[in-house]
Amino acid sequence: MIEVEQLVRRFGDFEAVRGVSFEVAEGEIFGFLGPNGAGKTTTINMLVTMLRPSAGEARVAGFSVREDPRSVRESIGIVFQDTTLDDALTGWENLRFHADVYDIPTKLFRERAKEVLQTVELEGRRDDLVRTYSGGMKRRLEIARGLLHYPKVLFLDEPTLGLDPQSRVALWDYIREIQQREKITVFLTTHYMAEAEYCGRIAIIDNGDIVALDTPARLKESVGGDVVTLTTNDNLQAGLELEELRLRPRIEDGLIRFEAPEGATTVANVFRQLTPKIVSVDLHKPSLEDVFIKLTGREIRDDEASEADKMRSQMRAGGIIGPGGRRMS
Amino acid sequence: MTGPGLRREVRAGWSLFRRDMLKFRRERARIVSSLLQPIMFLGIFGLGLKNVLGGTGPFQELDYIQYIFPGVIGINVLGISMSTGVTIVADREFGFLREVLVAPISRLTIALGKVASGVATAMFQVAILLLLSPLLGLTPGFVQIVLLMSAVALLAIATSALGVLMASRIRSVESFQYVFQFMLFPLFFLSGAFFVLDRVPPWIAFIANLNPLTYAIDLFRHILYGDIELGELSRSLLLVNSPAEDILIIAVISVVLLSASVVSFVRME
Repeated sequence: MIEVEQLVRRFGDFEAVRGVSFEVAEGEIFGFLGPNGAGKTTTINMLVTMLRPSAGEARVAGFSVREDPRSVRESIGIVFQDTTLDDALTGWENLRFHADVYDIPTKLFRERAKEVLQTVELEGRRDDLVRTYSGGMKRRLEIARGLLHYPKVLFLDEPTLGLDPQSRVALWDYIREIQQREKITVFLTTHYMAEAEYCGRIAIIDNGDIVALDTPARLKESVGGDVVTLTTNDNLQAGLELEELRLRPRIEDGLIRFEAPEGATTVANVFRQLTPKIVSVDLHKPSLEDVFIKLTGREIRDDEASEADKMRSQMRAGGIIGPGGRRMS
Repeated sequence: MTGPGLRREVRAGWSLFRRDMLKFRRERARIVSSLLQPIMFLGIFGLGLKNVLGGTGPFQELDYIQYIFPGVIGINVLGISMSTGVTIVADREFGFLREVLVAPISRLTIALGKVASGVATAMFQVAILLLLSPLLGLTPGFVQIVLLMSAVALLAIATSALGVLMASRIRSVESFQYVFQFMLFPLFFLSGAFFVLDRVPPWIAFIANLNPLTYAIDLFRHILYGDIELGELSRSLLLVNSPAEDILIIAVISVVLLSASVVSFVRME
């Protein structure tokens, strides 16, 4: 459904996307996971024909984004990172506008609009101005609108950014329900590890490059067992001793980290054999965060984006002064 | 673009137009304030300068307030239709423009839909202003009103296109308004709206001759002064060009600005 070959996008001297290649099968939920600025949004913008690739090729629903952007546009639904609703119109009017520019026959539109509004549980608010919606409701309306014209692929750029935890969970329920009922292909970007777990397959992207691509389960397996983190009163000595036990420890930020297939047994063994005093210990099944750390040596920190998120959620709620002193309501 | 393609574009353009009309109708404050401005002009300039200028030159035969009325209409058209551009910039700031730009429709359609909105709003405002004309001693008949509205539409195509052209180059509402205010002032005052341009320095005359408003206001005067008896001298001072010349020049300016705005809008990133 999506085929990407050596896709590149440069902005001046800066290479935001450095020749990524991947394929997404029909009906798949495919996630692009990576920290802010990794090239996720740039890639999505090229796939939805809002940005011309500097090199490489991408085909969406069988159409080339370079040669036939209009056919691509007809086959996709998009929910951008920042809201693209007209908040001076009602929910229904926003949908009607969409139906007009996507040329959905009026009768079909009425049925379909009711159906998508029902899916995201907004039927009761359809005649209210979007201005009065919460952040989560706006997102849901955008998803409903993105589905209105029966797209083959639904693109979601950071769909849950700026939403509170409950809305996030609810939104995922909608996305999965929609994907199953409509047999639609979903392509999404996120920097939330927990969300990537919902995807069928994930591409981990860092500095404009894909560093790994697989199912969440297999990516986690690739870490090589359970993840153990220790602190001791002499990390250097402890590191040397762990090396002797062939545990391949890494010392980062005052923490010793290693992976072991049988975590619990290994930890018990380490407790017996280590000469430095163990101050604390953590043992967990590998998460996608661990996969990312293993691949890049860095953490994707959710709180990295927290300031921007707060700003966004406030902007969605409306009525604050945005960057540059612009009125955002 | 063939049959079904064209029908799609028309539908999309119509929906853009309808959205603007819907929003315009909901923004009562904007309608009222954009009507207050011309009324203020008529009141302050019309009544204020009437006693200063009254009884001199052509104003022996024509009330000064009648003199500035066509100019006030012209200025109103300019202000309203150019602010169509602001709606594009605001849509960009608030995100909605992406919904429009990523839709499978032509940019040409988007630009033309916006120009159509500008023309319609301008015509609506002028229709309301015309209700004031009996108070000023002008009583346009049906034919005059139709002619005037057509002239207004012609001017509004040029000014709305200018608004779209600016919007495709300017990223923020503040900058747009700044540029807009900057342009508005010379366009207002160097158009023959408030004073006869027969004794101005050549550079002012030069600017006035490039200003589409000059010709539009001249054309409005031709239409509105139909019933007023004017002497040969007053006529030559008040009505500078022939109506045909006015129409031709505004039409040329409209075509140029419309083409430029469409090209610029299509190329916009």
